[in-house]
Amino acid sequence: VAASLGSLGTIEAHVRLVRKERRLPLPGEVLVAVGDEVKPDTPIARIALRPGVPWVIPAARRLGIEPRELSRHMVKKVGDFVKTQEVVALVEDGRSGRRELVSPTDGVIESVSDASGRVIIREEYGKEDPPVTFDVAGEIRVRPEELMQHMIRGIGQEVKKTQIIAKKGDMQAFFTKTALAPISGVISAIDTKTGKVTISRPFKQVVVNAYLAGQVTSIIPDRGCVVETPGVRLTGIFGIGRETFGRIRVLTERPEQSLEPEMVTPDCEGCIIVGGALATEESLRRALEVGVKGVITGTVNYYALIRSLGVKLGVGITGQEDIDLTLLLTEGFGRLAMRREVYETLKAMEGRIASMSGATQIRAGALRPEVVVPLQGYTGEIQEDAPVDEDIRPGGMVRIVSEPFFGEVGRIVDIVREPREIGTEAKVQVVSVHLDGARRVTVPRANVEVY
Amino acid sequence: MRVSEVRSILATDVGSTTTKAILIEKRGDEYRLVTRGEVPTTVEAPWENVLIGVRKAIRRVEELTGRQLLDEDGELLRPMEGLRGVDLYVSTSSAGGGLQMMVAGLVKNISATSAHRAALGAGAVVLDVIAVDDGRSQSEQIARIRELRPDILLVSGGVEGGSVAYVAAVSETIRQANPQPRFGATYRLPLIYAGNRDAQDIVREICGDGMDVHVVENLRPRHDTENLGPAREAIHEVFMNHVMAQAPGYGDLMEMVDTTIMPTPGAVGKIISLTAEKLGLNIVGVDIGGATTDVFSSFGGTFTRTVSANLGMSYSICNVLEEAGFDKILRWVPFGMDEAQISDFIANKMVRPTTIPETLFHLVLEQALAREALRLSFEHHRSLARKVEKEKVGALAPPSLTTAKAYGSEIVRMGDLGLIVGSGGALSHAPRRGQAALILMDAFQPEGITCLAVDSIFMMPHLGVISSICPLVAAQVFDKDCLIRLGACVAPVGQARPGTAMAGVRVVMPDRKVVEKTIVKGEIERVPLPAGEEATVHVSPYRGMDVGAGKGRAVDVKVQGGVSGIILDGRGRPLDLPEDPPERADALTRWFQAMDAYPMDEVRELRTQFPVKASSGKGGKKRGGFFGFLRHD
Repeated sequence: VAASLGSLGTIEAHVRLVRKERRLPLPGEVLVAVGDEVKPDTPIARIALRPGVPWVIPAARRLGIEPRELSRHMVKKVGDFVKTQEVVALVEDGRSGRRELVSPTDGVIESVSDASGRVIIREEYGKEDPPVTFDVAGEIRVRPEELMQHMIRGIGQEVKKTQIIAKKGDMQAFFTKTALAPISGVISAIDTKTGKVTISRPFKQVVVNAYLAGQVTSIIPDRGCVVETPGVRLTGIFGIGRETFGRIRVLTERPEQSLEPEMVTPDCEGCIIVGGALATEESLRRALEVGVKGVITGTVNYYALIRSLGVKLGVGITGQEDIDLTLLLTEGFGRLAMRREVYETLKAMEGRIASMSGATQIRAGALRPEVVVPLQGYTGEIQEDAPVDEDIRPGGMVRIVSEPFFGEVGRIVDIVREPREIGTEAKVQVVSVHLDGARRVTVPRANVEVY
Repeated sequence: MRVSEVRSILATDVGSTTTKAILIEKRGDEYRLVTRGEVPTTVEAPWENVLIGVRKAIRRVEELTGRQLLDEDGELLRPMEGLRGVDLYVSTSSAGGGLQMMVAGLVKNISATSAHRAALGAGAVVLDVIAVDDGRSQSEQIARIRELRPDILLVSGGVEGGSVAYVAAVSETIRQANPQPRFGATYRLPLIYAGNRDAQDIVREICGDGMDVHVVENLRPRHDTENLGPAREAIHEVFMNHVMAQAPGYGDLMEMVDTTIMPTPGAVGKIISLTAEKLGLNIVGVDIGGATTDVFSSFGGTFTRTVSANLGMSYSICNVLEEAGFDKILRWVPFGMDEAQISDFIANKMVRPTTIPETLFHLVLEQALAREALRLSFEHHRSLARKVEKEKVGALAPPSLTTAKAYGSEIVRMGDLGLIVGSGGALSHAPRRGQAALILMDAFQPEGITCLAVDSIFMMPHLGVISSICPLVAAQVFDKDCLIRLGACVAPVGQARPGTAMAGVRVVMPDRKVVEKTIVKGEIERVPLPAGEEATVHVSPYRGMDVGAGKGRAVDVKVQGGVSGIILDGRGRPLDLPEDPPERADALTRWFQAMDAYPMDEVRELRTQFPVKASSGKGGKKRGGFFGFLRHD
């Protein structure tokens, strides 16, 4: 790796120590140790979420006693393992004889409450338990294609063992046919051709990957670790889609050039492709078809985005969309060329494996989408993060980010202190900008950004 | 110091994006606003200390007034001596996303709804409402509670003397979920219990180990009685002393202020309630921000606040487009617009929230979006502002009636509304006040006779917190410097053909001169009446029309003047916009002109440049988004 780093040249100024904290949402098992070298897809921590379904049994009510008497009548105590039909609590009195509370499932007694009079039994099973498929249409005697209208629980919904999941006939209890769930789990499929329903175990494993290639430098106990690497990190203004990684391929020749569908060839599969200005709707569709992992481009059209990727932008909080493509916009919406510096940096990184995330949150504490190119084995100088200077000053280059000069770049001639009237009759602070071709325009200070 | 001796007050509002400071001083016999300074808030990295922003905002006030308020160490000089220092310092805050709460109750439409209202009224953003009958299984509820990171939990449930078993069950669900607080895990999450008194000890026993339990009076002691005050007070108290104290820099800020820091929306609510009480009017207030829109109402002494967390003019602007749809937005624009192009303009406003419209074309578009954001927020408010009613339904009543009883009756009645106060950039900073008046009329559609006003520079939060110690100061400044009266809108309710007369109006001006006008269907007309003057308006509605006293009944009222004077709005209620696009564009242009809202030469020029196309005929496909969610019919 070190040898190929020789060609970095112009981008050396952008190399930073990239540090990523990778953590589980809940305590779990950390799979790496300090000093380990990791790849983007190396699992670093995992948890088994929802180890079993809790059965909440209104025990006091069933036994006909006051909630506060429940503990006295328990045969089993918290932490005990019980099997299906095993007696959990017992009431014996002279008048009405003996009443028993039996466990509806195999599991562990998790709590006994004298306040609410309830017993919670956590059903136990392992991830090795296979899903169960059974003939529901047959059980309730309907044709497979009619099954949907008799289902009480749908795909993705939780069911418990012995719960009614489908029912035929409504009013006449005598003629009603029902199908009961044979195991607890989540309905994962309803087949209207065969009439069969599949219930899977809701054993969900949450795994956190390293996200970028690098070295584990510290461990966060029970949660995850910190991965560090020298690398180049670029951020965009808006993104969509989850974390991904792939080889960088620059498809346009200039930052002003649009990304067209014919540029997205089948060999882009698994890559992160870089366009210039606008990525057209067809090029995004094509990228999805081909199996591109990520698209980095200047802008898209708002419509093209919702039509091609089928996403809603809503309140500008993204990153969890269920799409196979991650998108990073460096400039926003409409038609704008990618900043030359960003384009050149990506061009210099062509062929390297990059990690990217589309997660964006524009509100306070902003989160912007990013692309990170790890440079493991880099021996040159690592730059400190310089404070970002967003202040505009006379002579500085700015870009206008509002109509009617949207996207034009120029040099600040004057920053006018006193508010001036603009086209809308509003009085605001303005700046004079010298655009290409010797034009001079006055625009609100709020509508220019340092370029 | 006695309140009457106060000569100057400094107030700051620490918002999520900017910190605003105002200076109020006694001039002669009355208190007036001196100046206002605004700087970015410093709650996030690299500063992570709100006090830095607060000091910068105060320094800005120093620059603008040439007076010294802080000493060399950044400490506030108190009390005022000569021209140095101030007598009082107060603050509000919504930094760090404001107050976020999770609410739990037993029955969704009874105790959970009351608890929801209590949390909203206290200024919170409610993350979720958990109820025994909310349709989720217990494990789904546990997973949801775990995933949320509220600042405070509010638990309610059970009428006085009712069953305690279900309250215990809800508490157990919460304990099992073991929710974690937002700012680090260094403190125990506060839980406020406002339910059945008999279950207080049980809740303490179940949740007391892991959480900081506070017990207050039951907020729904009976099915037909609501008692939200104690819960609301407890939320304020807990938020400031237990939650905000954890946020970076707040400990120092709390020591600096002379009275408790209030959540910004709570302070705005307070000033609205006080104003309603003082003027003896029913008031609706609205604050349209970048991310959220808050609506407040005070009707017959009942105060309600709601937050539309996803309707705003920058961060949430794409959501306004998605919820309202293109047709609803473009109906307020008299120009032809290319949907692809304007959708890019709107999306860019989301990613660059601080940009402002530079051309009239884009200003009109942005104000069309503001109308829809306000309309949707107000609809949301009306659906939540409901009054709990006495039991009227017998045991044999059909289920539909029982449900209606549980939901209660609507509090906001447009005919009884006396004043609408608008606030937030889109309204306070509209280049012409006539634009703000027209936006309020279009979005809220006031019925009968209603006064309109805007907050001049968004200082309602400051005045809200000042009102808790010096009500007189707050009232004077609110009246003189904060509230800008736009005028009074007279809008008859009823069906009429375009061009026909709806009501006769006789205005007796302050100089006893009489002006007579007729309200014509489909038109707006104005009678100039400057701010500070009062006139008597006599409205005689024609057959079938209602201006507040019933169909055909005349009304006599005194109204305050304003920038737009008395506005005679004959557009009908609900507001009738012509179906045909070119006809609608003509009507909009006439209304713009009548309200003197825009430079008309430029509007006509834009109409020639971007003509509105006629629709493709009746029954044709409606224009809209490419997906169903962009189209609302």
